[in-house]
Parts: sequence; C-alpha cells; structure tokens
Amino acid sequence: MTDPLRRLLLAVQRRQRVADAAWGLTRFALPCGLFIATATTFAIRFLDAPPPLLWLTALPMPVVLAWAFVRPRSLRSCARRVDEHFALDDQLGSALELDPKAAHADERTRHIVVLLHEQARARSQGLDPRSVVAIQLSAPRWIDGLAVGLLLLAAAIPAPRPPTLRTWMGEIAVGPAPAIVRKGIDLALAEPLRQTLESLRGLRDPAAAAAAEILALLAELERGEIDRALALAALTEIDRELTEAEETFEAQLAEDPERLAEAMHALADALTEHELTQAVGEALDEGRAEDAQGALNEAAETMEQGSAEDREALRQAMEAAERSLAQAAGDDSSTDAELDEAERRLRREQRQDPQEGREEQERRLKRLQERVEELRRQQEREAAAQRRLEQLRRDADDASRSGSGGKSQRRALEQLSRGVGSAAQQARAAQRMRQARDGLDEAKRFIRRSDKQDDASNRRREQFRRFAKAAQGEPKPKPGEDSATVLMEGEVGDGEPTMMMEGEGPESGQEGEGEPMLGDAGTEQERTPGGGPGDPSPGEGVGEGSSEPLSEAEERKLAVRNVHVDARAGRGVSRAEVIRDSSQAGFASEPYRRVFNDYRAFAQSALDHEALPSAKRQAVKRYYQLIQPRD
Amino acid sequence: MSTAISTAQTQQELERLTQDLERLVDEVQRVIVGQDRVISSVLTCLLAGGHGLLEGVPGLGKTLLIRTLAQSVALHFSRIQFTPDLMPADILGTSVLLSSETEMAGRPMLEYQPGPIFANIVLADEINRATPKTQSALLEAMAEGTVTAAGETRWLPKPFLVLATQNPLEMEGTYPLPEAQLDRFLLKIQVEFPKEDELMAILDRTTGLAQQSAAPVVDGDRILQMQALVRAIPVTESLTRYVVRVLRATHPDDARAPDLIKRYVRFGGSPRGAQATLLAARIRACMAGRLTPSIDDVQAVTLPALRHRVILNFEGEAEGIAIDDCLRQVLETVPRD
Repeated sequence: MTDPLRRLLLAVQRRQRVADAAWGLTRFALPCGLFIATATTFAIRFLDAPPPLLWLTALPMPVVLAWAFVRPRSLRSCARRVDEHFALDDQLGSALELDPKAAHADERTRHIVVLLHEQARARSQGLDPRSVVAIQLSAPRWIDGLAVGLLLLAAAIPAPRPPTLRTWMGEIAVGPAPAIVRKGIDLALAEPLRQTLESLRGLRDPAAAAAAEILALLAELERGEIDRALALAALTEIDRELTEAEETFEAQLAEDPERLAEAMHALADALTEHELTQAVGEALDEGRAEDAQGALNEAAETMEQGSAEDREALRQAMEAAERSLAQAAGDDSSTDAELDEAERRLRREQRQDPQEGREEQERRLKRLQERVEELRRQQEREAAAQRRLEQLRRDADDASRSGSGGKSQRRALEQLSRGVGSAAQQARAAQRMRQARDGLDEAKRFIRRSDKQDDASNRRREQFRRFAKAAQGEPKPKPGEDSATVLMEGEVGDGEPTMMMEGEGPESGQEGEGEPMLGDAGTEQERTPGGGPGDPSPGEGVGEGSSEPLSEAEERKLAVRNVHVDARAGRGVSRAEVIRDSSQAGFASEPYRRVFNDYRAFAQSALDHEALPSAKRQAVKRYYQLIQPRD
Repeated sequence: MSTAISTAQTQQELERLTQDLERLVDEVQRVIVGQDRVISSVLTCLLAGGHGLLEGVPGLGKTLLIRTLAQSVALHFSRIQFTPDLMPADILGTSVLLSSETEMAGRPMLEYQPGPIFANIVLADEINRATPKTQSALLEAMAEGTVTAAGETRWLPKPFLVLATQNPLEMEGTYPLPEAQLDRFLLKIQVEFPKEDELMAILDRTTGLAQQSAAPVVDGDRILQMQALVRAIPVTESLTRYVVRVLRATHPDDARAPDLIKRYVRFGGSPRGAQATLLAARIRACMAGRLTPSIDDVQAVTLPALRHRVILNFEGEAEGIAIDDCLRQVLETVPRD
C-alpha cells in the first residue's frame, strides 16, 4: 500500500463514506428519530407504553451508518472525482484502470501507460483528499422543524394524572357511590310502536334492519343513554338509509304490490270460507307466504289421497278462489284515468304561454312530467300485476276442474301454490317497507312530543273537536269573521315559521286545476278538480271536490251537492284578495308540516279505533305518504 | 534497462509530436486568423488519416485554410472545383493517345494521365455541386487509398487526405452527398463566422501590401510517423465503453436514447462513427500534451465525428431539428460511469 495513488484514492473513499454518513444522519436519521421520539413519548405518556420504547429513537442512526459504510463506492469513481476536482483530465482514473504489465500491440503503448502511472503517482503525492470531499451537513428543512415542534408538543401536553388513593377508594366504594342521575324517557306509550317494530324483525331485509335500529334507539333513549336530540339525529340517519332502500325497492318493483295485496286478501277471504283451505286463507291474510304455500300443498295432497268429498270440497274452494282472482284481475284501477288527466294537463301546460314567471311555469311543467312518469310506471306495474292475477286465475280454474286427471290437477295446484306464494311474498315485502316507514315516522313524532306528554292528551282532544266540527260543516262565516285563514295549532314542527298557502283558480270559463292524489277513489262526478274555482269566498265545510282519503267514495255518508260557479275573468283568488282577507283575519301561520302532522294524527286515530280492511288502511297510509312534506 | 530507455524514447516522441503539432498550428495561424477549432479538426483528420468535410458559407477561408495546411506540411496539393459537368475521369485521370513519335510498331500508344486525385492533400471544393456519379468516383480513393482506372489499380500517395467543402446555403443545382459517402469522412467540420476581433485581424492582414504565407514545418514522412504514434495512445476500457454508450444512444431504438433522438432520428451513427470519435479523442489528447484521452476529449469530438452519420427522419427534417442539438442531448444524458 505504498502506492501514493491508491493511498490517495482510499483516503478519498473513506472521506466519502464519512460525508455520506454525516449527510444521511442530518437529512434522514435526525427527523426520523424526532418523529419516532414524538410517537414514543406520546405512547408512553398516554398509552402506558413501556419507557424503553424511547430507544427506538436511535434506530435510524445505525441504519444510516450501515448504508454509508456498506454502500459500494469504487476506487475508480473516487479517482474520477479527484480528477474532476483537480482538473486532471481523468489522469488518475486512467492510471488506475490501465495495467502497465498488460500486453499491447504496440510497445509504445505500454511505455505510455508506464509514463501515465509515473505521472499519476507524482501528481497524487501532493493532493489533499479533504478538499476533494467536503463533509457537509444537511441544511435545516421544514420537516426538521415540524419534527422538533411535534416532539415539544408531545412533551408539553400534560400527562393524565396517575390514580391516587382517593381514586382507588372511590372504586372500592366503602359507602354508597353517588348514582348517575340521568333520567330516561318513559316509553310506555310507545308500546304499540315497539310491538309493530318487533313484528318486523326476524327477517333479513331493510325493513327488519330499520326496525331493529329504531328499537335499539328507543331502548337507549329509555335508559337515558342518549338524549332526545341525539335520538332524532340517529333517526334522521335511519330515515336516509330507509329512503335509499325504498328507492331501490321501488326501482326493482315490476308489479304493483297494492294490487297484489288486495287480490291476496280477497283470495284469503274466499279460501277461509272453505274448511279444506282455511289454513291457506289465514296464512294469506296474515301475509305468511311460505305457510300459505305449504298449506296449499297440503291441501293438494289431501285432495290426492282423500275421499271424493275432499276433492269436491277442494274443487269448490278453487272455484271460489278463481272467482275471487277473476274479480281482482278485472278490477279497473283509477290509474288510467289519472294518467289521461295528467297527460292532458301536461299538454295544456306546454301549450300555454307563460303569463307568470317562466321559472314558475318550468317548475310546474317539471312537476307534471314527474307525475305523468310516476303514473306511467304505476300503470305498467298494475298491468303486470293484472297479468299475474290472470295467470293465477287460470291456475285456480285448472285446479277446480274435477274432470281433469289427478296429476294435472295436482300440477295446477302446485303452480297456483307457487304463484300465490310469490305474489304474497311481494305484497308482504312492500307492506313491511311501509310499516318500517310508518314506524320510523311514529318514532320521530313520539320523540318530538315526548317532552310535551303532559299536554298531548289535551291537544289531541282539541284536534278531534276541530276535525269533528269540520266534518259536520261550519256555517258560512259572516263578514268580518275569521274565514280565509285557518290557524292550526301544531305541537312540534321543523318547517318554516311562517308559510303562506295560496290557492289558484282557473281562468274564466276554464276548468279548475288540481292534482288528484293517488288513493283517491271517487267517481268521475266526485273527482272534481282541486284548488277550487275562481271564487274568492270561503268554501263550505270541508269542500266538495276532493275525494275522501279515508275510504272509498261509495261508502261516504257526506251530502254531495253541486255548486254553481259563475264564469268570471281572473285567476281565482288573487294575491290582493288574499292579502285583503289576511289583513282582516291574519295570514296562515302554520307550517304545512305541522298541519300535515295534525291531519295524519287524526287519520291515524281513526284507523286505530275503527275496524277497517287492511287494504283500506294501506290506502290511507299511502295517501298520507304521498302528501307528506318533502323538504 | 532497455524498457527505461524505450520509455524515455517514447516520451521524447510524444513531446516531439506535441511540439510539431504546435508548430504546425502556429504556421497555419500565420495565415488563417482564428478558426482554432477548425484548424485542430483539420489536423485531426490529417493525423488520423481520415478525410474532412468542411461546411460553411462562402468567404470564410476554407480553401485558404486547406491550401495553407498543404504548404505547412510540404505535401503535394491539388484542388478540384466540383461542377455539374465534372466527369469522374476529370478527377481520377484518363488514358490519352500518345503522339506519333511514341508510336510502337506503327500502333498508337495509350498512356494513363493521372488526375488531380493523385495528390497528398486534395481539396474537393463545393463537392455537392457534382453529380452523384462524379461524387462516387471519390469513394474508392477515400476508403481504400487506391484508384482503379483503365483496368489498373493505382495506389495514391501517402499520406492522402481529402478535404471537401460544401455550401449549406445554396441548395439549387446541388446533389447532396449520399450517406455512404458521408460516412467516409472522418469529421464534418462546421466553419463558423469569425468573431469581431478576428474579423478585424483578417481585414488588417488581407487588405495591406504584406501577404502572409506558410512555410513547411513537417514533411510527409513525419506525418506518417505521427499518424502511427497517435494510434499507440492507450485508451481505458471505461472510455471505450462510454464511446459505445454514446454511439448506441444515437439510435432511436436504444433504451438510453434521449427524447430528441427517439422522436426525430431515423438512423443513428455507424461503427465508423465510434472509430472516428475514439481516434479523434486520442489526437485531441496528444495535442493537449496528455497521455490518454478523457471523457472530455470524447465529448469535444463527438459532434464533428457523428453529426454527418446521424440521419433525421421526416418529422425531424420538417421540424428543422438540428442534429447537433440531438447529439448534445445524448452527451447530457449518457452516464459517464
């Protein structure tokens, strides 16, 4: 190792490694170590980590040192660096690379290599390796400052105080520990709601999931683990999830579940009357699709193995079922008429010049188009349901033919069983979804009103009184009396504090406008357009044009009479007239949400206290679902 | 001991080579003002035994430089002005019918009259004005150092150096040199316009009464010795690898090729390009008095050695891409180690 060239290059190599180590320590090991120190300090102080964990802080240092000293760094690269530093034109590197003892084609080449080595050795003797490689530390960067800041922060945050004797004594609890005073909400009045929700559990569908969540929420509320605001927020979240589930269900729906449900109830009534199919009818009536299917199969087996009387009894039951299904399939719905009406209104609206603001007309058009689309979908579903019912009817007809052979009759019964099971299942799914929605709304109402339980009964009575008066029809108010505005006293609402509801009448000689609600089942005469004609005077009683939401029009006991309306120019109640009337009687100050809640509560109480067919109940609920506040 | 003596002799030879080159440059610079890079490039061609293609606008002293170089080395010089009607026989020579006094047995005798190619230094002025047929007459002479005419192959004198010039401005009536012939040139030398102080010196030197001329400082034999010595200069393996990397990077399909090459180059440099680069780097190191070339030497000679060997594609031609820019990018991107 007496060669000064190699000595120089080795010195440069060592210095290069030291420089690498210094740079790596300041550039990487320092900030990494500080970050690790921050994390370990935090862990030791707040997570009870063992203090030796702090040794991890030094971990980046050996890693960097190992990298610096193990990293391959050839003498040739060091020679190139020295040559560049001293502007030697690669003289040292060439001397290092060229072997003077190697054979060359020209002897002069070897002599030149020897000369090169002599020159390189002579040059390298006076060269200082320290100037070649400067040991530099990395300049401070923002990340270093961040690391230091975080470490100081971790050290500055006060650690939790260690448990003292007093704490332990408290836990030992020699005397009675102070009880946590947290009062829950009495849910005794929500017992029917809970039972309804309990009945929804047990299956694996969105309705069951929503019911389970609501029940858990009510339990927590009752125990006082959460307050009312938190419960309402949670219910809002459940509402959102349920809405998504409803939209998904609605999108997947091919047949109208209402129609199927109606038909299944009618079928259930028909089958219950016969002893052989009584179990089938009961299961269908209660919506137990699998049980109904099983019972029908059992009836088929009984027919196959039983006596002639049994076969006759089954035949009669199937005939009754066929009649029931034929009637259900043949029932005309109001959807076609509603669709025609909606399309007519849409066309008329599209032809009409915008006399009001264009935005208002576009909004109305959009609303009408949505309505038409909805009715078309409903019409398609009803048609699909009708086809399904027709198929079931044919199956029942085949099953009822005594002349057919046993096997074909059995096959027809099996087909009927499968079809009925499927239809019942679909109807049941829709019903469960509605029940979950009702349960959710009821839970919301209950929680909102829970702080006013004391006043609830009085308010309820007051509502009943007002609705009873309205149902009987109030006399026409005299001038100066409150007439144009009805002030409804609500309980808890979250709508606008003030809301002006403005009626809209038709032009002179034109027909009034109004949207018949789904669920209205009035006849053509009774389904006069809503909104009223252009008469600014208050109406009589509850009005005449609106169809009855609580039951079929044929069953109503109201006295229907025609009101002659003079055709006049104008658009009904004008803004000025509303203001004039309101200046005398005051503006309607009740938000729609609150009014809606009162109406629905009234309808709910009627449903609870009167014996109504389940399909009618669903129609009422569906109606209120359609007119519920959207915002 | 004999090795020590030989080493000393080699050292003396190298020192003498450097001195002769310095004298040669000084002699040329007595006539030619500036153009140091061009002079060293032409001398590189002379020492490498290659040929040079000088490109520059008229009036930059290309012809004067070559003529002065020929005077400085005391070699036979001839000039061929290439024109479209120049025929190969005008360059290579032709057989002529001798007069009646030399008739043999009553028959006329044909004698070969050598053309201007039979000189040590041949100036092919405006070579791109001749037709391809005439240009190709130079191929054998440049590559083999021989001329085949009248059914007989004749050796050209040594050293033999063709220095061709071409004008980059005039394209009308010119015949661009084919790639095969371009590849025969060791270097393509760009003759730049002189700087202001150089121009002042040129005016001062050429518009007065005194006319400068060069005197011979070395002869042909010495040139041949110098040519042999520069080929004995050792080159490290790492430098040779670098030259190979640079050459490969001029090919668009090479992984190390930079973007400009990949996008605008159709063909990269030929192996002759690498030979020219390494040889020119050796001579450059000798001129600087160094014993081995370095990467800097290679980088300095890469442009003249490869610029006429790299061919642009249509997109490059249409975009007006300069090959020098492509080569500079190659030198920037190819790693030294």
